[in-house]
Amino acid sequence: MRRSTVDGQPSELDAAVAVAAGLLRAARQPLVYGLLDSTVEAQRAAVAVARRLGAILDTPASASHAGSFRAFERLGAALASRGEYRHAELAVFWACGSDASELAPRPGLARVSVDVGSARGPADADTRLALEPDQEIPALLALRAFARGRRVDAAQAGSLPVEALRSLARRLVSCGYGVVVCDADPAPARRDACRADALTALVRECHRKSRVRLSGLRRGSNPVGAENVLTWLTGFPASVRFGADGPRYGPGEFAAETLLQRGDVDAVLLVGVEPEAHLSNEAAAQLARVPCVALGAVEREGARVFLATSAFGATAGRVFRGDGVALRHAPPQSSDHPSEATVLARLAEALAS
Amino acid sequence: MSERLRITGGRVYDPRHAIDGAIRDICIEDGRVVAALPGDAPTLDAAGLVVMPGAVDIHSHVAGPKVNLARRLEPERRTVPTVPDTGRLYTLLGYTTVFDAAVPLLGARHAHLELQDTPLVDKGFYVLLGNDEFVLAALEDGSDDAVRDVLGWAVRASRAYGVKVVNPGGGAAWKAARGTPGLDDALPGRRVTPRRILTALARAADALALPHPMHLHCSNLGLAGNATTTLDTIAALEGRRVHLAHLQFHVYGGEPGGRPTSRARELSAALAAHANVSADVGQVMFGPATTMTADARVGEMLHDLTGRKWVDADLELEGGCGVVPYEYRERNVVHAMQWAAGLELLLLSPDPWRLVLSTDHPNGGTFLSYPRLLRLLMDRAYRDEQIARVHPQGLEGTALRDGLAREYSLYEVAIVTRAAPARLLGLEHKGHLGVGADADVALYAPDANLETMFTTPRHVLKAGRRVAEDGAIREETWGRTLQATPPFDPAVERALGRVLAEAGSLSLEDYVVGADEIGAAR
Repeated sequence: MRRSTVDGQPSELDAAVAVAAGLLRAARQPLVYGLLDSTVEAQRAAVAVARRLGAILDTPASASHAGSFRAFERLGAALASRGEYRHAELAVFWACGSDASELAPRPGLARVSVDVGSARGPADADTRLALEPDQEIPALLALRAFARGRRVDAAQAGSLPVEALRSLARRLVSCGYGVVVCDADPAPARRDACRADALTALVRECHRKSRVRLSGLRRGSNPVGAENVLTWLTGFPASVRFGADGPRYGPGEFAAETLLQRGDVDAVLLVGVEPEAHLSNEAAAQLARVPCVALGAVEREGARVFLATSAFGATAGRVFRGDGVALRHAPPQSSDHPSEATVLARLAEALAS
Repeated sequence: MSERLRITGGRVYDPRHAIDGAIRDICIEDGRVVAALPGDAPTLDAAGLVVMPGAVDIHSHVAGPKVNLARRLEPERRTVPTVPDTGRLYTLLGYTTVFDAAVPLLGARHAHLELQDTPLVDKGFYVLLGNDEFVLAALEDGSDDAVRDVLGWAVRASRAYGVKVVNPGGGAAWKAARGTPGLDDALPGRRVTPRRILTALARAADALALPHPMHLHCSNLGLAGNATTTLDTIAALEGRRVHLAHLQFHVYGGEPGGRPTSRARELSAALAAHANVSADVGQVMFGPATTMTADARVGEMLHDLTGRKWVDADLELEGGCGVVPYEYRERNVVHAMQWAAGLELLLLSPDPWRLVLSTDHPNGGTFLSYPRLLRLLMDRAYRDEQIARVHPQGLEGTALRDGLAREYSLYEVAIVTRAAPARLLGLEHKGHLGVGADADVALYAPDANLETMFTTPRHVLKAGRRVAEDGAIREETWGRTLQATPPFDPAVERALGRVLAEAGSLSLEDYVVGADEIGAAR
């Protein structure tokens, strides 16, 4: 059985928790980061710890989902639980696949793949439309214009495949039910401040004449849980600072990437995350220099304190499906290790004492 | 050791026991009101204070998927407080029990997660039915027994307190084909009408003896001429218990598609004539609001009307929801009419036990505006000042323009905010201060400005604990989740399972909220 460690040396959990509490309490600006592969119970407990510490709490979504957060706050959203996709007559995969079996090939469903550079949709799509990366946003704007019944003149169209876009827009506004699937946690090279806005606006426009929903593909075990839990407990989905005046929202400002790059945090608590998968090399290098408490099923090298917990897959609790439906997570196998939620609750107790 | 407290010398308003401002002691032991305490029990001096049971909000939106979407939609303003703040802010007003009025089956687990994190107040929700495949399929099979069992299963599975029906069948029709069926129009592709849905679910709620009757958001909310629909709905439910949600939004005259006017007088008369019907008012208060509704048509209408940002979400096998930020303005003629119509209903109310307070938080305004609403009801001079500020055309044809002299007494306030909602909810231990009642108590210092008085109770007790004092939380306790436990024939699960197998993305078990999923998270 894995043991918790302090400075690489095996430790009883309670002793390791006490050291972790001391380290975090001594920090001027601690950061609690992760919550991606964590149950709702652990996410709640992480909020309690962050609140007690006066920490900044952030998740990888502050980087990968930033455009979607902004689009939601600016325009709203047209959503559906995935069972609704059985009504779909048209699915447009915008440079990605889908995790919904309802959008797999079936009679009555036309599947269109819009491929942007090397980001391609399903190989078995009925129709394909290829765009260069720099054509992507203009193409979305053109689609919206066509959906609204407007013309796109030659100067605006540039090198866009105008006829293919006009045809796609026609299909979107005339279908009984359409779903546009997008990558809502794109890799750094695919992040764009405008795409989520443009996709949301396109779907809204089409929805005036037909019924079209936007489905964002998420990465990680429970990113939607993290957004929901943070929102009902703090009012904000990520990048929250707990101060004397309550939780404050700082998209960008309180994002882990920014804080680490600026050297603005002096202790980090990692929960339910492999940070290197989500941070830039510069931020990850800075993270390695900051005293760190890590929870997890796999020991983290370099952490001052490692608190051994069950793996997400072996932890009972509640999780949110990508479409926002809360489910019970009942693992087939159990773990001898305590859950993240249990360990975080102990940490909160130690911080209170 | 028992926890005891004697509240001494306060002016008590306990309408259930016909106590109207009498000086009484209230004795509390272990969270309940008791007949007497030993002489050495601790005391709370309430001399000069008004003592009322903790208030009960029968219709609010405080937990679940659409509420959380609304929080995310508007991080810049706080018409929809966080879950911890919801419990605290209600408590700081003297409210100790709150019900969320609309949670879909698929959102029940989420709603309970939020309720688990809601401190202080007792809470629960009504589960949505009437636009779902489960009820519609049962109705197409023609069996009222099947509808009753679907309802019993749904309340048990979701651990709800009651059932909410929103625009019966209209949600399904809107989603399928943007249809707006009349009471006797078949839904698209079905043999079921809204009238059939309404009557079957009202009958089922009665047959299951749910503590609260069917909680109904009538069809055509917000549309000119919808008073006719509401009157037809009342007629359709003759002899059945029904609670009409946010009645103000359903009392409009005028031509369809035109500017709505108020027909509150007629609806008030209908309420007087139908003892089987109760309602909450759904008062509009000027200022910021957030509209959130399971009536997806309304969301789209408000988005089109205002151009504001909008979340709309469809749920498999159920209806959907819409969320749009909103603002009620004094100088807007429709908003003025809505404001006036709510006040008309309250001031003309034939029976305060059957028409109770709500703003349909946050749809008509936030619950934080309750003190101002009480002042409007209790202080005619203040009301007249406000009337002078609103768009005069909005008042045309309303009883407000004719002058309504009525001023609510403290006794009537105690009815419409405490005793009546508790009675309508079948909450035996709430809304009063008799022996055996939950020791949820609010103590107010009288003030010439009644808004001031009701904004900051001097003391609030929850289950006998002194949780708030002079506008600050003193102790954060955890209330209970209230749920009903009607029976159902387990055979219904086979039929429900068939519906899910055909068209759902989840199994029946996924819908069932476990006993370990309710109660305080900490």
